[in-house]
Amino acid sequence: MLIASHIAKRYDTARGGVPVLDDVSLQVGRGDAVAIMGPSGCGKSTLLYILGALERPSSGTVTLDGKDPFSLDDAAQAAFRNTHVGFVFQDHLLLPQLSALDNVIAPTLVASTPEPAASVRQRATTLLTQVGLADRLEHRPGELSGGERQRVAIARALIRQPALLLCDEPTGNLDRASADAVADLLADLQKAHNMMLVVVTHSAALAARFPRRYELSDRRFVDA
Amino acid sequence: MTFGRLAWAGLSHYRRTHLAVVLGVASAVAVLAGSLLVGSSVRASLSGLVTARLGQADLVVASENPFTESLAERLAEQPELQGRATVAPLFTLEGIATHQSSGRRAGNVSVYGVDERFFVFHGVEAEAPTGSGIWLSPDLATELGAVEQDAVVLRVARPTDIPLDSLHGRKDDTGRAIRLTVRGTLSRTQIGEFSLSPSQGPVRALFMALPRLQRDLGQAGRVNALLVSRGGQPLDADAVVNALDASISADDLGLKTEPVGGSLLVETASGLISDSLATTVSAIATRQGLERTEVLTWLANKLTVGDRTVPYSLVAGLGPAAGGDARLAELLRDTGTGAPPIVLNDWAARDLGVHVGSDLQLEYYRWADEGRLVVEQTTFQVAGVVPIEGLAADRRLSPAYPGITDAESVGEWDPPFPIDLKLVRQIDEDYWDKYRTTAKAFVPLEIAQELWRTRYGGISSMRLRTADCKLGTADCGPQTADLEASVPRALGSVRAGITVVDVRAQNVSASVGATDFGAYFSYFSFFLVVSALLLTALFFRLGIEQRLREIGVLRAAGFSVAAIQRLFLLEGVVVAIAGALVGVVLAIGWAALMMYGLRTWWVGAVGTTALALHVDPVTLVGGAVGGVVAALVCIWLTVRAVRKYSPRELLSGSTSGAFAAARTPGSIRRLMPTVILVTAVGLAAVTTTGAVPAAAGFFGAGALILIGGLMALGSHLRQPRAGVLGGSGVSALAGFGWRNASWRPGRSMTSAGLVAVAAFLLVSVDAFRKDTHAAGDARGGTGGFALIAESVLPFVHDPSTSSGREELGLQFQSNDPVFAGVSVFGARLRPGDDASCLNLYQPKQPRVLGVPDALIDAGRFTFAKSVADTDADRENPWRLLRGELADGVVPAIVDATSLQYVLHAAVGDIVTIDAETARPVRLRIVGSLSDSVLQGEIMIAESAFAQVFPESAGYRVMLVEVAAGARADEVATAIEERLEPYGADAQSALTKLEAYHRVENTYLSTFQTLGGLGLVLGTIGLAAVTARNVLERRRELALLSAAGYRLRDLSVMVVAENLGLVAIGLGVGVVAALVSIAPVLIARGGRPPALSMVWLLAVAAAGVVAALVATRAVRRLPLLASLRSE
Repeated sequence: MLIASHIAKRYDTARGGVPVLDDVSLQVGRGDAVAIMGPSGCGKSTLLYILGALERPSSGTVTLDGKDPFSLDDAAQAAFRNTHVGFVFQDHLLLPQLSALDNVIAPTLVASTPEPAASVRQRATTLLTQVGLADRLEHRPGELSGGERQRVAIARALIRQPALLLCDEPTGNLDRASADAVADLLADLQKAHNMMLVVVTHSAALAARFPRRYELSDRRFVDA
Repeated sequence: MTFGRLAWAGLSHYRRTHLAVVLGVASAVAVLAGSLLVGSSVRASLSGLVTARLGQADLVVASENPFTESLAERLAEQPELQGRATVAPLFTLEGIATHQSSGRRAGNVSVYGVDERFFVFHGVEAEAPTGSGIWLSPDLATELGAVEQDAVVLRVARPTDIPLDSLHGRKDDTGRAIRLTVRGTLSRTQIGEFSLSPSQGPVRALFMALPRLQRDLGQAGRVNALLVSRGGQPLDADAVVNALDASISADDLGLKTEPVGGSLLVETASGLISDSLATTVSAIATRQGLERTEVLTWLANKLTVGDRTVPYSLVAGLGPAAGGDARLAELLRDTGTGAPPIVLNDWAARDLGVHVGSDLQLEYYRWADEGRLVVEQTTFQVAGVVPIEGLAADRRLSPAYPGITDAESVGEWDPPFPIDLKLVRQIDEDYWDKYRTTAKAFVPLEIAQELWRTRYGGISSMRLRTADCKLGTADCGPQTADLEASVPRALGSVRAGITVVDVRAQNVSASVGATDFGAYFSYFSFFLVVSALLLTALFFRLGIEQRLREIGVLRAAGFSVAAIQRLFLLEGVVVAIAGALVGVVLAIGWAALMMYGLRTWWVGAVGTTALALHVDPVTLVGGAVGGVVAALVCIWLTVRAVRKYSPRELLSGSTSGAFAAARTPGSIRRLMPTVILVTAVGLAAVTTTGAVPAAAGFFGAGALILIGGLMALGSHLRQPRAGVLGGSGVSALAGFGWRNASWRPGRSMTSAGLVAVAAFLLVSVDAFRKDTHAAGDARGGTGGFALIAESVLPFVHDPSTSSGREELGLQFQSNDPVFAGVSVFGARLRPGDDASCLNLYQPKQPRVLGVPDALIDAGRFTFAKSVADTDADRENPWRLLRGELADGVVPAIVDATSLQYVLHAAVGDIVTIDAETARPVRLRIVGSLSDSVLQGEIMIAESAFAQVFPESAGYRVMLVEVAAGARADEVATAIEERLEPYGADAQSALTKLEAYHRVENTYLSTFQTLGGLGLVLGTIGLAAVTARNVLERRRELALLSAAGYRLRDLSVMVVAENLGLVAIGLGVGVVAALVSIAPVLIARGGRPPALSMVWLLAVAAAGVVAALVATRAVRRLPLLASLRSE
């Protein structure tokens, strides 16, 4: 269970503080899929990063399966993300110097409990097969289409079998067909792995696919 | 997929960026390792030079007093040497050679009297010189312009048994002129450059026939040096000393032992027994239960009682035993009341008409230490009269005096002091006929020693007697022989002044050098290395910034900061090692270039072209490791910076986004530059009042301006801009461009800071450039002396005195057009290694000057530092030379440059010179002279010199002051002509000082050249950084282009930013530097440092080039395509 309580976030700049979030609370259970919508600059990505322990809230708490990642030190926090959270970004952010398979395997290199290389490779291959790229394992990101890159990014996010998958505008850079394919993929994988899925998007079409939707406006959730 | 593979994939994919890092590391390693290679090359060159010049000589046995030539064979037969080591005798001297037809002269010529054994010893194919034929070294032949069959006149000092500056020393015949014929030159492979002293300069060697030299010096069958070759076997100096002690004879040590009248007479060729010999003989006597009598005999000019006088009488001082003559011993017992006792023989008593109790005046000559003959007189009381029999008849109480002992009559006496033959009467001649050198009077030994003791000794002979038998008779044969043999054995070679030196080890040790060129070139290349490392760090950082989003996703995937740092460090290690491998190859090229520079552009610093590159793998590896470590530190510092980026910044790919943490300087930091600059102005103002020393005050003010200026720039770059853009045209565009310097304040500060610091150092180091123009006064670098003259042969007459100058033919009459107003200070010299910056070798036995009281009192030169703690000593620290220190330590004064850079010591330290000889000398440095012409000398008081270096008789150095307006060159010529028999060479003091300055200024120029290169490298490297900046800002530039900016407008902005940083850096650095060297600038009449300005112009040009490169980058941007998100 992901529980975010009274999250607030404020950025300090040269010209004073800029509030981004103000008293946002959210609960997501296993198997839940949630979409968070809102206009550009409303703080959606900020909320996502807080939920994924990439950024610390100015106030409020976040727990995932009873653990508060912000009570951990940096190294433990990184390990927490590695084990419990998967990220998919709008710009796939694949490492251009690695093949699709190696991009998927990359997060396992810092696993706190190392796994045998063969089983990691097998799992990565399976994931890439699940996302429809069984025949593109050794291809570099430069040799893949936008949609294919995003599917590799999704497989990468799942290699550590996280409890929580966070997606920031996963279809934002894709054409309609690719976007639909990726959206379907996310839904299928979420069910298959029984993960908590939180997607940030400004696409109404994508958000409509999710049973729970929130609208972020004026730094707070309003009814979607 | 492993961590290593991930790192390797990054290396491969971003190889272009890494290539720039590799080049940066390679540059740093090349310069660092190359600089160290320069050091090892110089050391190897110097070592190679000295070992080549030594030939096969490993050890040298040498003595001031010649020993028998046959000692070579006796030594070679000793067990320690037999069958492995070889020994060759030679006679070695310093001389002056004159090419007869041209008159060209060469001083400091090493003269070697050799025979075929010398060449066999060295294993070279060369014929030994015979007769008057000589071989010359190539350098000497060139200097003299001498070819085969040319005549050369050689002048050398004649070794004498009797010390030159003693009463009986021949002062007017100190040298010999020998006419010789050149047979040709000996090449280096023919041992033509043989030299026992380490020096990088030309070798002036002259090889002549040993028998001929021995004959001309009156030293038949004697030599003063033996060369010993180990033959590849272990053999140290101690073993040679042991072998020497077992093989030396009394003749080698100048000892004479002879049974005389039942006693064993011990005396020396010099006529005086040294304290060490006296102690040795006394110890033998004590050990064997012998009775000993010390004798000191002197020539009295007059013995006078009332109006009666006996001229030129020998007077013997006898020890308490009085040679077994009980009556004489009793009569000579000094009661201590009244005048000391004197006993006359009956001849003298009759002639003087004395009776016991009469007062007797004894007049005598004494040679004073300051180099003049003095007449002194003492009153004795006649204690008794003895008949001329027994000991009183023993003419051997007097040593052999050349010019006296062998004369047939008193009228034929030819002593080295004036005698009035008119005083000699017929009865005196009759006495001489009958009794020769029999003493006419006897005094107690301690009285004789009070009157006539010299630094060479206070005993002229010793008598040993045994109660068992009469020594020298058949009954006492074995005992006599044992005793005769025991004296030289007990004295030993060391105490007798024969030294054994491991000359190969000593010279190789000296070749490590006083100057560590490796360290110096590392310092000189500091900016090159720093520039290379900064570029390394910059390019590595650029690589990281290029991969920020990649880092962000890894962070998101659970890579900790430490893991990411490890990943990049791993890449950095590989890059650094690759750079090091390339750098090692480049280092050899760099070192070769530096060595070429030392042989050509910077030859003024080393004074030789005999330096060559020696590639030492260990040095290369050391330099490479150092460069890699430095590069890794820079890379690590860069990688560490990853920590400060938040995941948001990383994922956005920008570290200057809207939500970037505020880095605006707080109010205190904003005020700091102002505070510092105001402090700088205040410090400068206070310094002008004299409250703060000028050098420190202005340098401090300059440094504060540098720091304050850079802080002001940093504050300006980080400050949010209050105003808005406005205006039009180039100035508005330039202003807009300048604002862009705030986009990456770190990069901008690095660029400007590097330029500022380098400019500051390049300009301010010019303050250390030495200038001779103000050195001419008494407190300046020359001490007010126009000339410094040095002779090959010593002269005993003190040139500081008018009588001494008269003796030398240097009368400085007031109406003499050349010498009017000339004054001279004479100094004694113990020759040795040059301790100035002109000598690349570490001096092991440095030159020592004994300075006279007159020079001490004159207070010339300026002191850099001293241990003076009284007002009088602070006013004139030379006075400290007169101080008495414990444990035989002698106070000394050295030039500050020599002290620090050659002797590696400081004021107050105790240094030991001649450490590897039998008589090391401990000196306490009581003061250092500031930038003086006496660099290269260690100066002690003349009185201390006489005690410590008794064998160095006479004067060899003159400091000459000429009147204002006089022609110093005419004085120099006159001195050389009049002192030609002594081989004098007079040099302008300013010229000599300029030679020292040339060395030091060459080092500065080298630093400025290499520093300037580094600055140029850094500035050019900024071109790549600027191009990178343009690439990163392509979207903004594209937007401006879409908004109507032309390419020309964009170029103006980029150029303004780049040139602005360079200009500010130069401006801050130069202003700060000029303030810091203000005192020097004022002293030089406001002339700016020329070489520095040249390099700063080069930097400015490089900045323009960098800006133009950046402009080109702008022109090549696909601006419209950049407007797209990917």
